[in-house]
Amino acid sequence: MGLAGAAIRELVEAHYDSLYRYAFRLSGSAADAEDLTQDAFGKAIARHGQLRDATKARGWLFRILRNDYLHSVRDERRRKVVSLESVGELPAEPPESPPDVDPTRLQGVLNELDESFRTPLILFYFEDFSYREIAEQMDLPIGTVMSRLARAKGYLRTRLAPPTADD
Amino acid sequence: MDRTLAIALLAFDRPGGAGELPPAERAAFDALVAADPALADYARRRAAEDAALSTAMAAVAVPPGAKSRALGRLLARRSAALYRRRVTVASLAASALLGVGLALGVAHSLRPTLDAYRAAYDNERAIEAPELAVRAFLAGRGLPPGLPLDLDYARYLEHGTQPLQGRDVPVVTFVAAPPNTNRLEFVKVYVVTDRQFKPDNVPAAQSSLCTTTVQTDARAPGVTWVLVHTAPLDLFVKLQPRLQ
Repeated sequence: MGLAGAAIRELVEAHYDSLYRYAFRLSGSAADAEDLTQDAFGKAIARHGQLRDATKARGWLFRILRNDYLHSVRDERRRKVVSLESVGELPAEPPESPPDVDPTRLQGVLNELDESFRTPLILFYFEDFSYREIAEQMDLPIGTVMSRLARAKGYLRTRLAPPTADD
Repeated sequence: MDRTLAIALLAFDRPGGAGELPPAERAAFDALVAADPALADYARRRAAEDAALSTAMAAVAVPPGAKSRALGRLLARRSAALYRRRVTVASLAASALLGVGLALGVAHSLRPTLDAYRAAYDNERAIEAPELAVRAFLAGRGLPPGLPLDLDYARYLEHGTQPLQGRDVPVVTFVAAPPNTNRLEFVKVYVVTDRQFKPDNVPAAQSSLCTTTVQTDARAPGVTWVLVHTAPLDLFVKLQPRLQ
């Protein structure tokens, strides 16, 4: 038997907003984010028997959503625009004053990154996910996650830094 | 912990959080940062940058009504799934009913035709060679073919199964007419096994007209012969007890 109506309502109420934000940051599109979010809930409801620990519902939903996203863009992934290997040395110094980050500009920079760097960055800044949880989400060793995260943060800093007189 | 390691760790510090270092290492890290103004400034700038990025990352407006739309679709999909499941269950039940009906119909049509000749032949065999017929009957049921007493097959009447406490039990019946009486005495030999009844010691018993005698044989474990008779067994016995 599937989840009862009340349980579905509870699940959606508890996780819709954060899941939508994650979907938006992954896909960069409001329409895709809405579709991805609904599909993730639909799959989670259909497979709710697989969730052994209800306290891990959030991570489980995020994982389902990411898999759906990867599936939907599997043909597009080859044309990703930026290889972090080609970026070279990244600035290690944080700016003197807190940057004024425009969310739209941030999305533009995120879209430049390959998903393998974008996902740890998004999950990291959503704060609730530990390195271990991000590693589980991505089926990667924790060291790989930390390495990708450091490079992605460096790239983000470079791209979001205000233009200098030399630019 | 030295300054270089502390700077490296700061790159992985969580925005707004206490980090994921073990408590002892976290304490050493915090002490080092607190004691080094340049490092503290570096940590402050890192934290401010992370906080700004974290705020920007979360600044995604959920479209008005998106949650309600999703919820409505999910609930509608669930209702449709439940309906489909009910239809499937009803279809399966109807199919099962049809299957049972067909099976009953087939079983009905496969009933054997009554063979009058076979009925006559089986009885004839019992009349001509009653002991052989009884031995074959008992052996066919996995029972010792012989009876515990050497009953006189000249007095054999019939064999078959009869209910005993609601269970069908093989039974062989002998009859005798004592001299100078018009009564017909009988002995019925029930052959029971411990698969049908508990193998506790069964005592002999007597009612107004019948006596029950119980026989066992060490060579046939698990089998008990219950003889219900209206006259002393001598009347039906030819020789001494035997079991083959």
